Amino acid sequence: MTAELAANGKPFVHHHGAHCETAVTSALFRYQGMDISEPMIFGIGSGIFFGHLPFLKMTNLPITAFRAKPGAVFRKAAKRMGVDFVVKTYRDPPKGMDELRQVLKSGQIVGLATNLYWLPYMSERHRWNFSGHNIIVLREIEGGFRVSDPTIGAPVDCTADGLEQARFVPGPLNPRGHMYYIKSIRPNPDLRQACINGMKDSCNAMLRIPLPLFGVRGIRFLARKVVKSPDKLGFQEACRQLAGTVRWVEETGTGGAGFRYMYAAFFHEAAELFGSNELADLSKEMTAIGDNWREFSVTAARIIKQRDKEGETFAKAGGLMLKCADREEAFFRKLQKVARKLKA
Amino acid sequence: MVSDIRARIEEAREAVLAGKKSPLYYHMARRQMTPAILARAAGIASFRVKRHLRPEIFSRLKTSVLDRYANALAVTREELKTLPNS
Repeated sequence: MTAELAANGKPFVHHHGAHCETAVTSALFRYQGMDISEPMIFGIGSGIFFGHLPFLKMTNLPITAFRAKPGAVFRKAAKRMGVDFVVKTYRDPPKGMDELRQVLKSGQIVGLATNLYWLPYMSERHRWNFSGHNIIVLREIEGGFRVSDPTIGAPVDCTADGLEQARFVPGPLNPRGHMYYIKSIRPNPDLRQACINGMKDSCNAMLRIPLPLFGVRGIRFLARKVVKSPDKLGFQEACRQLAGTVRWVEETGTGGAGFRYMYAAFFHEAAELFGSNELADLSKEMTAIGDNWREFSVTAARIIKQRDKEGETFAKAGGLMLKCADREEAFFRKLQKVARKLKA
Repeated sequence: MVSDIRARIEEAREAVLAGKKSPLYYHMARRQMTPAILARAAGIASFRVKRHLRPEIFSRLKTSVLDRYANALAVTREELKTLPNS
C-alpha cells in the first residue's frame, strides 16, 4: 500500500490486488470516493464464467476462460451501480495515446487493457502474450507515464513507447487501446439491486448459453476432452494441453481455482448485506467448489510430473472436472431461486 | 509453461543456426508470435511473412521491408539480421 499523487494532485492509494480487472475497477471507484471491495465488484459485474475456446489459440494452446471477457466486468459493474463512465477503443494508436493524455490532464485516472508481454516493467518470467491485463495510469511524467499495476506492490514508471506497444497488439484479443474511466458516481448507489442483477446475469451465463462451449456445459465438454486427450494426442501433447488448462485455472488473473474463491467471498459479503442465511450457505458451497477445482489442478500437476502413474490418470482428472460441473450446475440452479426471492 | 516457451525459442535458434530458417524466425519466436500475428503487426501479407522465414529469401529483402519487421518486433534493423549471443 503506497500513497501516490494522481494528475490533479489528488492522492491515490495503491493496493495490491488479487485480480487485475476487479482490482482496477475497485481502485477507480475508490478514487471517486466509493469504498467497494474486489469480490463485490466481481459479483456485481458477473465476473464468474466458464468458456473453452479451442479455435482461439494463445502460444499454441486453446483458451480456457474462467471469467467474463476482459472489459465486461468494469462495464457491467459500472452500469449496475449507476455510474457515469466512458469506455473507448481506437483503431489508430497515436490517437489513442493523445486522448489518454487529454483525459489524464483533465484530472482523471484511467484504466487500460494492455498486453502483458509488451509492458516494459514486467519481469521476464511473467512476460507472455496475453492481451487482457488491466492497469491504471495515474499521470503523465517526462517520457512516459506513472502506472499503478495491481499485480505489483508499488506504482511504477512506464515508457510511452512501451505503453503504446502494449495497448495495440495484433492477434487474438487485441485490446485496441481499450481505455475506460469513471466521470462521476452516484453518491448512494442501490447496492442490493446491483447484487441481484449480477447474480441473475451470472446464472444465465453459466446455465443458459445454448452452446456446448460455455458455462456448465463447457466444463463438461472440456472434461470429456481431457479424458480422451491421451489417446487422441499422445501422452506428451496431452500433458502440454493439460498444463495449459491448469495455468488457466490457477495462474491467470491470479484468481486461484478459477476465481471460485473470489466468488465465494462475494457471497460472504452479500450475505451480510442482505442478512440472508441462504447466501451464506451458497458462499460455503462455492468455497467447496473452489476446493474441488484445486483438487483437479493437483491431480493434473501430478499427471504431468508423472508422480503416481497408476493412481493419477487423465480419467481421474476429467472425473474431478465433471464433479465440478455437477456441483456448479446445482449451485447456480439454487442461486437462481434464491436471487428471485431477494428484495432490493 | 515458461520452460515451454523457452524451449520453443531455443528450437528456433538452432533452426536458424543450422541455416534452415531466417533470423526473422528466431525474433518472431522470441516475441511469442506466429506468422499470422507478425503479419498483422508488420502490415505484411502472411504468405509473404512465411516466405521470409526462408534464409535465402530473407537475405535479399529491401531495407523498407526489414524496417517494418524491425518496428513490429521492437528491434533494430541490424539486430533483426543477426542472432543475439545468449
